[in-house]
Amino acid sequence: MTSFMIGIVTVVAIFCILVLALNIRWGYCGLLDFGVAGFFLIGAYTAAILISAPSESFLFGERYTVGYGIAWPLGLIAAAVASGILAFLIGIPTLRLRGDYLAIVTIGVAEILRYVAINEKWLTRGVQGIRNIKRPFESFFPPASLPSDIILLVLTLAILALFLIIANRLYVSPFGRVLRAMREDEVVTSFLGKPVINFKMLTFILGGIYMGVAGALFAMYTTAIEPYQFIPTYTFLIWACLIVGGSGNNWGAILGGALLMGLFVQATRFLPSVAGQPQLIPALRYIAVGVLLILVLRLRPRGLLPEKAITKEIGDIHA
Amino acid sequence: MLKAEGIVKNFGGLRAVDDCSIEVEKGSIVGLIGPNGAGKTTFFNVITGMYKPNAGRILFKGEDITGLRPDRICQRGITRTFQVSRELKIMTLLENILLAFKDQRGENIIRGILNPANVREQERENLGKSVEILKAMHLYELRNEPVAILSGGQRKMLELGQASATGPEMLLLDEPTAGATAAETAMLVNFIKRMREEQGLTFLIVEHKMEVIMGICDKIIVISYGRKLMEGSADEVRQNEEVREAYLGREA
Amino acid sequence: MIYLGFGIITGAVLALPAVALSLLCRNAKFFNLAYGDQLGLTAYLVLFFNVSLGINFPTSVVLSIIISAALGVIFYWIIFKPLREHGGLILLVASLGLAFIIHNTELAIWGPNPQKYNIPFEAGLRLGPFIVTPIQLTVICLSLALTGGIFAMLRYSGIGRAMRATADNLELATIKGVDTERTFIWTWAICSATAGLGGVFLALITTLTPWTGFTALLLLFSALILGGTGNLIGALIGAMIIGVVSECAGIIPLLAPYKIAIAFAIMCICLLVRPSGILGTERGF
Repeated sequence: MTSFMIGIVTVVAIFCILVLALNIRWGYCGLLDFGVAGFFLIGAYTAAILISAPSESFLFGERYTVGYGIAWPLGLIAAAVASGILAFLIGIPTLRLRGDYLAIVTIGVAEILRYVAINEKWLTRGVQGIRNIKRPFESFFPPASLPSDIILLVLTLAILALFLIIANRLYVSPFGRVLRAMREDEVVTSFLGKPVINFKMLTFILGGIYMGVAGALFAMYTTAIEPYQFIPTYTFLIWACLIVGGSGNNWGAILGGALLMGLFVQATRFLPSVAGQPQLIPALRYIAVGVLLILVLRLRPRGLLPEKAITKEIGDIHA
Repeated sequence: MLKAEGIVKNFGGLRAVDDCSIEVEKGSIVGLIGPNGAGKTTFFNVITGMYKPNAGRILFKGEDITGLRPDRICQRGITRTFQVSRELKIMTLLENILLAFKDQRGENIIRGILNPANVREQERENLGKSVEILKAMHLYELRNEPVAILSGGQRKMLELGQASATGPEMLLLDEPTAGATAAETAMLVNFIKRMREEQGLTFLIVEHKMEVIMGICDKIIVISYGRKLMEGSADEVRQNEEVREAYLGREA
Repeated sequence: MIYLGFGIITGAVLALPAVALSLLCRNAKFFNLAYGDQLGLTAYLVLFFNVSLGINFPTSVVLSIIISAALGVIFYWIIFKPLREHGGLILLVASLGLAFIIHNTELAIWGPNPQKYNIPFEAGLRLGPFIVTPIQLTVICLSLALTGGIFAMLRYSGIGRAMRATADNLELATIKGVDTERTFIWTWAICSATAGLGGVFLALITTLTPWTGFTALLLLFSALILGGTGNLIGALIGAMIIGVVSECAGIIPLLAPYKIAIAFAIMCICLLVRPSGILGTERGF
């Protein structure tokens, strides 16, 4: 029982990192990222390829480029780097254009990455996915045990807390000030001497790093990943979490993530499956989330926890 | 200090600016006037880097700044304000001014996150300077309010203060007294004069209010139908026949 | 050669919804991400009438298109119109939400497996170097004819002129007495109906799954951006290019599963090199 609860909290925390990342891109900077699943995927696969056990590189007589058995911290860092690089590459052509274009490009890139994961079997083992992804300290605590779950939970929460602190500090910093100005009026901010596109790129990359790390954590949590776990549906879910929770507000992001994802996972436990139509209940859940998203946009667009203004008093500089 | 040579700007089939050239000497206050729709706003927008000219070039301190990105132009020392005050309404007055300072260490993403001592120190410094600017504008009491609550004239003053915070060598002001009361206008005019005297700033001002232009400008340039009609001192402009015609009976 | 033939068919089938999407985006001033799923939904509606209810195919199509048009107007009324004041980016998010509602509705009702219509199987005819079935031929001709029809409507009909006016300059159109609200409703209705028809055609030449709509979305937007956003003729040309190139990419076995990715890559390169597209964007977008 406890193991199950710990698992739920871990997965919710991972998604909260994703919502936080999206808040940095959209809430702080107004960047429309509809490709969250793609950055998540890159992080997960990079970590999985590096961390998974060497036994994975060999299946039914085929050799794959996976399973280097590298230590998990390096896997995390590699995931962050890969995701950051992806953000940079996407950003170069699109950040100087209107926001809508970023939206479309990110949708497509996420899907293309998924196609690559499915088709480039030599790298990703295709639809079989990668298994035997090692958890932290696996030699001491085997994966199916309670201590292993607890360790991963602690790690996830620690990273979430760290990312939250970074995001908050960024918001009140002069960098964050420029972002808030850009969100309101890019032209004026530009004329005040701020290189707007650089700020956008850095924000986009930071969001990417968060998402990549979340992906790595996810890979370690499930210990087995496959392409179907990264369909656009999850991008949409993260957006719903952010909008409902309150975009522009980091606590709103976490609240939205916890609320929606928590409910989501819980809902499966209590609703019975309709015989012969296993996809009905999950689909209904997504429909409900979609309707909720649109309702929130219409009735309370700023979400549950709207953004707070910043006032600065003399002598009130953050020490 | 600022030289525009042979500027041409077309919009679709329309030639808004037709071979305009002007020169602004360092430390002077130059006015740009002309009837509405005469192309002076377009011309101004080209000089300030908002539009790229179809022909011609703009030189600042001898260097070609034609077609540069707006933030690069500001970095070089020219700051502009906007006709319809484009202040950042959600942010507070203080934040608007703080935003404008150049070379803020905290704007670097790593330093912003880590917030080391030198970033905090610079913030404190800038905060102090912002307070001075706001006090000079008589806006200090409202420093933590969102800009949205300011009146039109107050916004213009804030905008001028914000522009001065960027530490420019030259200011290009687009109707700096639009919507300001008589008292506010007088204050704004005073600030401009003081900035020229105390900091040696150069000004190019687009204005409609004749008393303002005549009052502070060393030189006035008249633009009509996209062309430079004439330039000269306030008296010369006042007495010029063509200028009077261009304004069709407006008080010149 | 077969690839080229299929490429032309795909291009022709995409052309109709691409042009309509371009028209819609130009009028509504945002990228409607639910458009692809509007295509898919109508295709599923036809499936419902044709297979579940046993109604003959042409009637099913007509019924479904009418419903699609009505749905488009409903979407406008309850989702997009009230959110207009928040700007294009929020509308984009809302359209994404709508897309997923539609997608999951399809998934819930019909399941993930590919579906087929109740129409007789036909052998292919030889037409020069190509082999086409009569259905494919009908689809191409209808698609291109109707695309022409849209251009004609825009040029010569009252509502077409109204659409152009509101797209170019909303305030000016209102001042000149154009009933902009009615124009918007008509725009959504016509573009949704066209999407629906495009969806049916697409389902006829490929398979129908809940993912068909989303895939169509990617292809359509690639076509739109390639040809120049807001430019209707550009959308047509973009669609043809995307159709041909993505299908012909199948010649290289390595690239075969990446047909859609190729289309997408073309769009991305276009954005890098010439963001305004081949024919350039029109004013007003």
